[in-house]
Amino acid sequence: MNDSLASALRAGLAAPICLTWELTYGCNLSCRHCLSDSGPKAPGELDTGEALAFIDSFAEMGVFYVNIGGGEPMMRKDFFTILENAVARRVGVKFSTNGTFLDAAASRRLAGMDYVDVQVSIDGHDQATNDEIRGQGSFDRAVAALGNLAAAGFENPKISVVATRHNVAHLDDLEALARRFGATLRVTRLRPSGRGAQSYSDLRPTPEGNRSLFAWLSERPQVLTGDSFFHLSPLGDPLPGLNMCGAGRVVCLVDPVGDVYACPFTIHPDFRAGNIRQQPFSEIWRGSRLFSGLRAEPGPTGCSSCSAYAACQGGCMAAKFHTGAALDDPDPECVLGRSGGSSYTVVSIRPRRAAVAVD
Amino acid sequence: MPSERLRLNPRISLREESFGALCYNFSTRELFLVKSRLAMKLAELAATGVERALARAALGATEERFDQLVEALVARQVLLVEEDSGDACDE
Ligand code: SF4
Ligand code: SF4
Repeated sequence: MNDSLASALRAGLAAPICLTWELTYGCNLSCRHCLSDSGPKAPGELDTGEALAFIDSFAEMGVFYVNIGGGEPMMRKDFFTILENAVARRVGVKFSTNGTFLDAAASRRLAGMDYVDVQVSIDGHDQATNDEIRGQGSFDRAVAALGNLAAAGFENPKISVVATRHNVAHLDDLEALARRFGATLRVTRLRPSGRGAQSYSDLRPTPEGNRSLFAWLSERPQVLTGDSFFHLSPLGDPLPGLNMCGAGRVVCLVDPVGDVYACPFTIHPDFRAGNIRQQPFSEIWRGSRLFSGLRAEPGPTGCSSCSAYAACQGGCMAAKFHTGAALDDPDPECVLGRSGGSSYTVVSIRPRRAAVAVD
Repeated sequence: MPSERLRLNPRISLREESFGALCYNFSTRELFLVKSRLAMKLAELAATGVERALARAALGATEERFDQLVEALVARQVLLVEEDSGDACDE
C-alpha cells in the first residue's frame, strides 16, 4: 500500500477497514497463546437478533469486510445465519477457525458462498509442534478441515500461523502444507494478550528467530502477514502492507458482548471505546474519546531519536501495554535492542468475563 | 458505430472518505484510494451504467482528461466498458 494511503488512514476513517468481530468467547480448544483467553462462553453474548442488527449497522457504514473470530465462531448455532446475512449485505467475511467443525457439509456450504475467506489456524508444521500449543488432536482436526474444504471445492483457504520460536524454523514445511491443500499461508505476530501474556516469554521468537522470519517473509510477498511485522522493518525493506498500528484508526474489535476495543489485542478496560448495546457503533467509531486520541499525531516518544522510527513507528501498542512498557516506549521486540529486552514483566490481563458452560 | 457504456464493476465497493473514496475489490481483495472528485463522480454515474458520451458531458471534462480517467479506472477494474447494443440494430 502506498504512503499517501497510509497517511490518510492515520487520521481515521468513516468506517474501519479491519473490523474484527469475536462472535463468542466459547471455544472447544484452549490454546496457550489465545489472544482473547477464550474457553467458556461469556454470559450475555449478543443474541441472533442483536448480531443481525449489528451487521445492518456496519453494512450501512460501508464496511467492506468483517474479520470473524472468537473463541471458535463455528460453535455458535447461528454461525451460518450471521455469515449469510453479512454476505447478503455485501460485506465480505474472513473468518478464523480451528477447523473442528469444518466437516464436509459445512465446507460445501462455504464453497457455495461468495465473499467468504476461511482461515484455519495451525501453529506448527507437525502434530507435536502444533499440539503443544493448541492441544492434543488439534493438528489432525485442522488438516482434516483443509481436506474437507478442498474436497468441497472451496478455493484458496488460508492457513493462519502465529509465529513462535518453535515454528519459525519450519516455515518452509508450513508453506508446503499450505500448497498441499491449495491454501495460502498467513503468518502473524504473537502478541502477549489474553493467554498470550502468560506464554509470551516462552513462545515469542528469539531475536535470531525474528531476523530469519523477516528474511523469509521478505522473499515471499505472497505470504500474508496481516500487517503485523512492521516492528521488524528496520531489518530491511518493509514488508508489503500498511506498516502502521491501525488501532482505532483502521482496526477495531467488537467482542461477543458488544464491547468495542481499539484492536483485537487490546481487550482491556483502558482500550474500551464503548458498547454497541448502549450506543450505535458508528458513533463509537467516529466519536469516542479513546479513538480520537489514538488518531492524533503522536508527540515525541522514547523512539524519537531512532533512525528507524519512520519504518517501525515504535512497534505494536498492545505488545508494549501487555508487557508493562509505556505506550511511547520501544516495542518489546525492538530489533535494535532498545526495549530493555527480557527485563519486562509481562502483565497478565484477562478479559472481563465470568465463566459459564458452553452450550 | 455502437456507443460504449461505462458500468461500475459489481465486484467493487466504494466508500466516501474525507480525502476522496476508499475502494475495495472483492475479486482481488485489494484496497485502494480514489482521490479525484471527478473519478468519484464518474463512478457514481456508472453505478447503474451510463453511456460514455453522456458521462463526459455530465462531468464537463475535456475528451483527453475524460479518456485518461476512464483508462485509469478500467485499469483498476473499477469501471467496465461495455458495448452498448441497445440501439445497434439499424442495418
Ligand atoms: S496495537 Fe498492535 S496489534 Fe493492535 S493494531 Fe496496533 S500494531 Fe496492530
Ligand atoms: S527504537 Fe523504537 S522505532 Fe527504533 S527500532 Fe526500536 S522500536 Fe522501532
